[in-house]
Amino acid sequence: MMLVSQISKPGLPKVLRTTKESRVLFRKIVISILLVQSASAIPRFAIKEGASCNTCHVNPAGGALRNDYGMLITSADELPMPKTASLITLDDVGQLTDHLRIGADLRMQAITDSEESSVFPMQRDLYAYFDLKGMVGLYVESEALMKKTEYWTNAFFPFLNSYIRVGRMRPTYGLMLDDHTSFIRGGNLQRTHGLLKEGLSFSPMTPPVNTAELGMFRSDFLFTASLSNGFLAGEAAEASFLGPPSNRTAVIRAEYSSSLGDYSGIAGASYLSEGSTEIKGVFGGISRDRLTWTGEVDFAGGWTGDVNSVASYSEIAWMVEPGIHLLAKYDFFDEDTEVLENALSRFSLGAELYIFSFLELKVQMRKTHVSGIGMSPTEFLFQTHAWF
Amino acid sequence: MKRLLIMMLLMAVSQTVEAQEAKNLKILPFKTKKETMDFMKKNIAPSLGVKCAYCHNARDFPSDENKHKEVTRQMMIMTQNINKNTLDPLAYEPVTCWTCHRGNIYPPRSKDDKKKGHEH
Repeated sequence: MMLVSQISKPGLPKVLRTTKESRVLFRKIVISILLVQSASAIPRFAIKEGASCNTCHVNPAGGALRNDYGMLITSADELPMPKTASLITLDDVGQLTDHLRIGADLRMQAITDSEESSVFPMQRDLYAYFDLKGMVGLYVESEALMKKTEYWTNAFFPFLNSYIRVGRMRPTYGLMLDDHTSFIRGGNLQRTHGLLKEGLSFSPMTPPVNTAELGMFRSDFLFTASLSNGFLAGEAAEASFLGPPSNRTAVIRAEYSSSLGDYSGIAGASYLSEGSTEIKGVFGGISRDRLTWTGEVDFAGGWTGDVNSVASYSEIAWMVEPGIHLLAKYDFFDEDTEVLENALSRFSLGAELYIFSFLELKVQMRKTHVSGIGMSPTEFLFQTHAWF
Repeated sequence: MKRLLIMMLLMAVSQTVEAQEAKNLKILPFKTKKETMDFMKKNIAPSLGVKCAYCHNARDFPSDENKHKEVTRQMMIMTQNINKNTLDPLAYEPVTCWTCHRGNIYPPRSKDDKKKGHEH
């Protein structure tokens, strides 16, 4: 209801199309995109494999630093264009010793619309993982742009097919997309369209917090359950390891990944609770041959005041040939499900080119529609992403 | 100081090379992890219709803790023996995992055996 009153304020423009407003909007978008989500992954690759994200990442819950398989098979063979990839091979330079692996994700981005353009660093994450025979690990991730550090230690219990992970991290919830501007992650951090919230809580602005996570593998299932110290409340809630009960964040997540004939996919559900806020949702995807669909829908209660919000994500990716992927995405966020005029719909079209085993170029065009207001100017994004 | 830095760099490089070497290979002739993983991904996994974790601890690939890994080793020895002792002298094309498995963990034992996955 609060939003209806905001939208119907006298003098608020119905359609954001004047030059001055476009510039303000553009700056907000740039600032929003500058802040990148770390510990992210590309779930459609896991969907295509019919396997969990930890197939390619050292984190048992997925994301960030890649493991042997992620570097030697996915990055080296399956992602890049064969012709260009064979020109420069980097192999697995991050595996320094049998027990120590380092890595990085570096992204530069240019964004432009009809009025302005800008180029800026988007991500400078450095990782190190010390592993002892796959039984005990110590992980450190330095998010240089955000000046934040994530670190945790994990222990595996093969007889129980389980692990415990303890440290300073963000809890595992839903799909860990690399695009933090998706509304199911952080969305528009600068609230570009003037709503109270324009996305969920998994933004780069939300710092890693003290967390203990238990994970269990059962056949093709992965269950995780974690307790964190005030993930939504932020760093103010750090009196002790887990803080006061009212600030504790409980998250559970279940994921099933499998292949059947020509089809492979992932299906799962997540639930987060902290104080009076509850977020629950389902996620998954299916892949056949060169087509992959990825999707998630989340329902949040108490995230935007005392109303119910919905965020969803849907992506269709077509691998034209190895190394060339075309994507169409639809992002949706409704801040208050009982009010008609406060929903964001973002339509994106793009291409991802994997030139080498360590370099990706991304081009994207997107438009956002705000119900009751109108369509925003078309944005064009160009991104280079290097990793090892 | 410069010498020390060069020595440390050389040590790091030698460690990196060592870390790329394949470990605990008893049957396969490969030298590096990359060669081994490529072979597994392109031959063994599709022939049996499985993913890596069916035979390996995905966090420690060289480990022998998964009993399926030893079964696979014995199957490789069997295949090598068939090729070397029977097919080579006849100048026949060699057999591979795919020849029997055809994407199934357990190949049918007879023409009436329709089951794809009976345990032993």
